[in-house]
Amino acid sequence: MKPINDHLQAEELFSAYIDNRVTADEKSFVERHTAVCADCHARLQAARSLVAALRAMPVVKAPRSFVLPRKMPREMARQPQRSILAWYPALRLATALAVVAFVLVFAGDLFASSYGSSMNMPPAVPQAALMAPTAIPAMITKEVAVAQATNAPTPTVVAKLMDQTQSADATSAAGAQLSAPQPASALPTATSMLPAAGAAPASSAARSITSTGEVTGARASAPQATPTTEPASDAATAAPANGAAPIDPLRLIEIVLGGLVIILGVATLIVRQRAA
Amino acid sequence: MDENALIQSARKGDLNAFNTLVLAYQHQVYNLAYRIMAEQAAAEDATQDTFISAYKNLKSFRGGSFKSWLLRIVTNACYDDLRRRKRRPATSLDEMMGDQEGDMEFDVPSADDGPETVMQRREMIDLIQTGITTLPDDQRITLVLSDVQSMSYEEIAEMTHTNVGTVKSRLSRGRARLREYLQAHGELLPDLYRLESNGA
Repeated sequence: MKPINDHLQAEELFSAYIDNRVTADEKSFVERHTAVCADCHARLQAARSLVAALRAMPVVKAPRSFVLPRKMPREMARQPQRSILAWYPALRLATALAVVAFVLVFAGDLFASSYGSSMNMPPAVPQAALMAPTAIPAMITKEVAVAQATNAPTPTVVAKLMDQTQSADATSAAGAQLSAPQPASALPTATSMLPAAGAAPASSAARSITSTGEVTGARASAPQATPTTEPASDAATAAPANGAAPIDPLRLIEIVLGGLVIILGVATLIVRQRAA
Repeated sequence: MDENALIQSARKGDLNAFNTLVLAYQHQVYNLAYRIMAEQAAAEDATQDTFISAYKNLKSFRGGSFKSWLLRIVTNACYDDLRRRKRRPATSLDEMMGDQEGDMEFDVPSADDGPETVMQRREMIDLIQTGITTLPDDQRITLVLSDVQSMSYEEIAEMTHTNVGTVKSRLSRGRARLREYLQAHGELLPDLYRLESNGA
């Protein structure tokens, strides 16, 4: 008795054997096996009969003519269905890619934020230290501005103040020089901290300070001693930048990818429904 | 006018030239569609779509066998239709009526055969056709292209976007499965056409 593997192997080769698409070794194996195995011989004969019957199947004549008319009716050219179907694999692939990209970016963001929070802690102190030289004068200026804003000096008071400061001593000049390089950046910061109602007094205060700086010899800052309206507008533009944190580019990418995933997913579902 | 000249004229928009090609190949295209779909209405739709698509895309025909090109288009149309049916199964009017109309179009193989033999052959053909529809799509299309359309393994591989090894495997499994189907329904066949496996 032949091993069962021989029967299976022979049967697998019958189809190719009938079509003469076997190697010489395979051919001799089938012939040797069917010569001694009656069952497989009968199977081979049955396979031959089937192929012969299939090849003898008559040609089914077209029931009508498929000649194209001069003007093709709309229902004959069912192109939209075909084109929608053609889009389906591409849309499905694009959706899958968008999902993968979204997951990767999101995971990366999570990873970065969890590591970043622990990594950013130590440099926080040196950064503060580095900022100190510029931040301190700014803070001083801010405090002065706030203090003067609360006093709400009128223009006449400011004029008097200017007269008084013309005879200011060297110590005040040094103090002015310290704050002079910073007024442009410090003042908007100061005014931005004030409520909207206090914007005008704050700007007047700013003018008084810069005027002081100008008189005491901080000529470099003179062009920056702008009219009262400019610091206010600077404050208006600076306020959102300081108040709300800028959007993280990574977060922006996440939002865009998330939207893309939703749009592509919906489009894929629609196309699938229409194609079905 | 030879085929190439007709194709060139059709490419330039000559519908009459294209329709001459339609008349030459419509039976072969329809026959393939019918053998795959086993349903007249579906075969007609596939054939019609094939010729419309061929006319619109004639510029993409790069020479070679125009018949093979048409058969490739109709095979793809049948693939698409089978996939659509799987997603949205529906019973057609043809299926409900047993598709007798389609069978009426068969060429009777030999005029010398008696009416009984003709009837037996028809029963055999019906059973084979039903058996073909039980095969998975890939096996069904490969078997029809090979055994009904007499295409080579290489042609089938090109047409179905696969390789010769896969064609060989699909054909082998398809034939084995169809043989099992016919043997299981052997009592329906006349003795002459039974595919016995016990040395008949």
